[in-house]
Amino acid sequence: MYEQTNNLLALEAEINPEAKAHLDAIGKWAVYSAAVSFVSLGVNILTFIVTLNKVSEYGAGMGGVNLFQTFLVTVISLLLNITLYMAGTNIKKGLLLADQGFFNVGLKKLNNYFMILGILMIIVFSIVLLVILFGGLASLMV
Amino acid sequence: MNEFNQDQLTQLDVQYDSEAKTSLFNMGKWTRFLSWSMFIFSALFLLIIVLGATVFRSYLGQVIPGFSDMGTGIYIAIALGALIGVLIYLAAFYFLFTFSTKIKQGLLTEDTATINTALGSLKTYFIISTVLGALALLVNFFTTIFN
Repeated sequence: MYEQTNNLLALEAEINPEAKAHLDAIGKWAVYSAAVSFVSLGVNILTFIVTLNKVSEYGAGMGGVNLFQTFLVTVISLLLNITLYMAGTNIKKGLLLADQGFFNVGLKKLNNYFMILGILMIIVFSIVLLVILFGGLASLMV
Repeated sequence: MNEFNQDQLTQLDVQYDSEAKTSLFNMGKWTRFLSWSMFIFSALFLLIIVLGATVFRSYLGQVIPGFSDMGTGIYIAIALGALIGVLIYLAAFYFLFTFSTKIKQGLLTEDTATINTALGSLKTYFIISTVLGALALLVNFFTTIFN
């Protein structure tokens, strides 16, 4: 089955105009989506700085935890949206210049984008499961 | 001669080569996992809203002054708002799920129409998620300004 799938994937196929239009739109909207996320990230950082200034009287410990959280979210979000932005631009460039290399890089980046989202989802699921598990254990011990 | 020229033109254009097909195929696997995860999370969220109504109401009563005096109507309005939000969000992931199933099917059967449907669904997913992202950004922006 695996070999059969690989054989089918090895065959070359033409991209018809309808598919090209869809792929071009995917590239365009991927770039828009990444741009919106970059601006959103900027607003979040700004909000964080304003909030940090307001709550600074509660002590440095709380700010430290928030700073680490914001740093982590910023790094992950940047990585994710740079990948999406590159996917969109490469797909568009590949279709515009009829360059197979750019097109393949774009699709690979888009695959990486969904892969990173999937891995993040697995991490979130694991955390939720651990919380439920430890919550259940704690309620049994009380 | 004309056929030869046509072949040369086709070779000049981008194609679904093995690398592109493998990327699309793997994308199908990850998007399937993502859409199922979001369906499960949304179901859990709705379950929490329905089952945890009492806990939520007491929490909102503590956070928002005078919330407890407003009656059940306000809670129903908030729950309905959350339900509509989840449904719009689910619509985006429904299109991602359609992409995941159709792209795999299209690539394995070499059916151009199915591949096109899959790509159309991915396009719709990106449009909905971008519009939702922009709306969230606007809300966040105005909340920051007014605070």
